[in-house]
Amino acid sequence: MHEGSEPRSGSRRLLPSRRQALVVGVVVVLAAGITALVWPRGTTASAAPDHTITVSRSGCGGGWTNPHGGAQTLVLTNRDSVNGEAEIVAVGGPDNGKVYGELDGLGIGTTANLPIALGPGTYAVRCVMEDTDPVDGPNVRIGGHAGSNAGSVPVTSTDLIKPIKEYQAFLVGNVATLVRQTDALDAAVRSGSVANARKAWLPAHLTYETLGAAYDAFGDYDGELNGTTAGVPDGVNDPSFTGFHKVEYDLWHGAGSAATVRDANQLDDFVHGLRHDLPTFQPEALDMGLRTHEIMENTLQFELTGATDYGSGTNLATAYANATGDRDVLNVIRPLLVTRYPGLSDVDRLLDEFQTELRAQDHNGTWTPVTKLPRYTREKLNGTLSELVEKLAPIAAITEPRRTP
Amino acid sequence: MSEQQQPNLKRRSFLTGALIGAGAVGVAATGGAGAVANAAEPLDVPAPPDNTPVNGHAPAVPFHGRHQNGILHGASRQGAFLSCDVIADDKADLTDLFRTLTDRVRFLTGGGMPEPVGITAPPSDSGVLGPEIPADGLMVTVGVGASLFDDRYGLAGQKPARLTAMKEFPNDNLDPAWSHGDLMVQVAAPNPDTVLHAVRDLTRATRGGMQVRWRLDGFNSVPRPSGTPRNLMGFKDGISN
Repeated sequence: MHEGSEPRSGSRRLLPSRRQALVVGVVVVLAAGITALVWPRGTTASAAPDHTITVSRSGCGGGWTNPHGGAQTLVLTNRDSVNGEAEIVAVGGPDNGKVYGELDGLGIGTTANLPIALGPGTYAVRCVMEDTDPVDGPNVRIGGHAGSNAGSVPVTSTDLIKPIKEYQAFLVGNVATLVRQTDALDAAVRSGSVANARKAWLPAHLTYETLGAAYDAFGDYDGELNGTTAGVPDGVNDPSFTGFHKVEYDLWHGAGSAATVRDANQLDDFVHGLRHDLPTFQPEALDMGLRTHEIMENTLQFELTGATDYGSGTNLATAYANATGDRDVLNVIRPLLVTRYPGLSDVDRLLDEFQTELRAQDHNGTWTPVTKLPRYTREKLNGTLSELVEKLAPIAAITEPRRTP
Repeated sequence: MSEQQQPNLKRRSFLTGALIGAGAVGVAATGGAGAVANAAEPLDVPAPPDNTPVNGHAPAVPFHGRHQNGILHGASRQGAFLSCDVIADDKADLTDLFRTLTDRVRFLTGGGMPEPVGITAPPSDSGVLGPEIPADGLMVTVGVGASLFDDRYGLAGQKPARLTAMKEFPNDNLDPAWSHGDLMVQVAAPNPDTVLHAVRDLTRATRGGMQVRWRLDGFNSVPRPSGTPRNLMGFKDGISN
């Protein structure tokens, strides 16, 4: 993940994405001709220089000669027979256990550079090799007065069990609400009143938008329930365009009662299916921190652009619901962040600011469409959310589950 | 300087004048305080160093100095012009915005290793230019528009006397969405990836303080076959031949 703003995969609503398709194409071409291994950037598969630090189960941390403080680039080589990762960990003192640098995906025989800044203290290399418990190398003392880069005590999978359970319970409650609301929408559409159906559509959609459905959280259901015409060959007439936005399109474009009844009923069926299958969609440990960032990144990409407006002009209401859902994810992992993330208060402040700015566009239930926002107001919303997304990005890095000895 | 007084004034000659200091307000890179570029400044500065890349990279253009490093310097091969609207909440936030710009431009124009962040954040750099950022002749020039001197930040009384919003010239057909702005960031370098990397870095660091209002990218051609580069109509450019 680069730069905080990069999603780990393509659009939430387009799978397989164009990018994945292209990658598959490239891999096929390479496999046909030559064997190619691609390591993360900054790594090479060339022979290891003698002076590098060893990453392995038996010799972890060997070769860290002449340790010194300040900004530097450590060179580490995986001399084991399995792939692994390496970390630089503080030993003892007030920062005991904090990780200051990490090399992901260090393949067998691979040498990689780790840029790092180390202040005075005692450190060790931690070798996290596949299929075995991590081991720490010998203690290394560093003197001087240089400053370290920021460090953080790793979050483990065990730490994330309780948040995941809490979040599951939250989802069960909200999906139960969603079922009632799409039942009501279905009934309103059948009654033949477009006005009542429109009124019923919005709360149902907003409940769905608080679920944090970013990045395949609900398998195929997200595409069926909340998909758009992006990547759909026949656009709004394509049979694979279903769910909330299809019903929105029907209700705001005079699609006629037969089509609208069919689409609203299909939406309701999908929601009932989601409730039934919800236990199978247990979030992975990695997802919790990632979602706090990706939910709002989707808001920036899909809502503040107006890209997902199929007639109701309620993108800003959706954005508000997304922020509410984001806060729900944030709150379950908050105990892990309080001691680890100094920017947490900025996140809270920006979530508040963003929702306050959005509320000003709610005129008794009628929301200003994005395209009707005055320039400054729109820039301000974009800026507040963009800053929030920047402040959320570290949470994914900090709460990525890591193994410890 | 109305159009009535100078009926022959054309947008192009106006812009040329603006670029040498007559109409632009430079922001001192060292302090963030506004400083009007002196129109009387002698222009017989030494010819700019040729920032043609050697082995892919051009040398650094010093960040610190009397002017921002893109002022009075020869044209680069690649450039991006970002007109931004400031959305900072108050004067303190505006000050933060200029400080952030100063810090990032100082780093980017000098090059070096991006700040390591360990496991506390995603990488601090996009990686577009590799693990160590080359200076690559990057020049960044920040200017402020007349619209910044209003009541938002208490700057109305400090507007330079001749600073106005860009005028509408005869035969113009301007789109307001592609006109004006509080703050102009000019990013120039010999290589397009260097320009793009700087644009991404600067706009990422300032997301909460300013938003891009409009942006235009540009380039200068190489001489064909020699002398002054040709413009896109095939002519050797009229203002520099």
